[in-house]
Amino acid sequence: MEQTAGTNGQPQELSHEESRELFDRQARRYLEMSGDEFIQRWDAGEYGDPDDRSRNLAGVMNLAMLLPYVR
Amino acid sequence: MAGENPHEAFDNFRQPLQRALSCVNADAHLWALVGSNGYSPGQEHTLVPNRGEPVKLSSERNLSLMSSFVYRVVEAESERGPWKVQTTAYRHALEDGNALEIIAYHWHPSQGSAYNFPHLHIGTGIGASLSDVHKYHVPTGRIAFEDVLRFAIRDLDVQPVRDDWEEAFDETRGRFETWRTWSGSGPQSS
Repeated sequence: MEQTAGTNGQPQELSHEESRELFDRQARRYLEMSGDEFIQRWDAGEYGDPDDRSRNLAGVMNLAMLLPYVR
Repeated sequence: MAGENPHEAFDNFRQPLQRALSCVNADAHLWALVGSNGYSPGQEHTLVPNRGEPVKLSSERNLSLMSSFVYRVVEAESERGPWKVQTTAYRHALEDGNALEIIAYHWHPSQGSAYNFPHLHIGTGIGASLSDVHKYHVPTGRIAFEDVLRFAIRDLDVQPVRDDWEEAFDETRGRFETWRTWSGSGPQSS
């Protein structure tokens, strides 16, 4: 991914599509699944408390914090 | 952080974070996430460094930083206004080269978790056999971004990329302490 600054030095807003791509990359990075698969599992109630480390990997909470932006 | 308008409040929130981050990675930049210009009142915003990708740190352990700042821009009274940024959640994780968490500082009172107090995770990337320690939520007070970066430099041998990193951290952390409205366990923990 390109890592350049915004042209005006300000933070740039990710588009919905770019955010979906980021979410997908993080799902693959932490949980070895696609972002869509994570959402399906989340919606099915598979994870329960996302930060419960006795049942979930660390990546579940990371993705839970991004969920509002990819719906 | 306060400002005369929402955008100024956002800028005053972002710039110290950017300065602190520049002490450990000269090329990382902060970006606002989707559906958000970063400063509109009435909604939650998430700011992540390096466009949400790991921020590479200079260290023999091949460490990376993953951070999220979740906040709202709200109206405020007195010297904290008329607009200010109110942090609503954060996550600062130091990971090894295999994306395994070493240390993570969390506060996420409204993200669907019962662990709504500021806490610390000791991750599986720590490399030690510590039984179930990776499952624990060790309570902490509110953690400043600079504290995480300073810990990484002092104890995890991350190499700063600026000679004035201590001065920069002192300055930006001082602003954080001046403007924060809570510390300790947090306003929404039980």
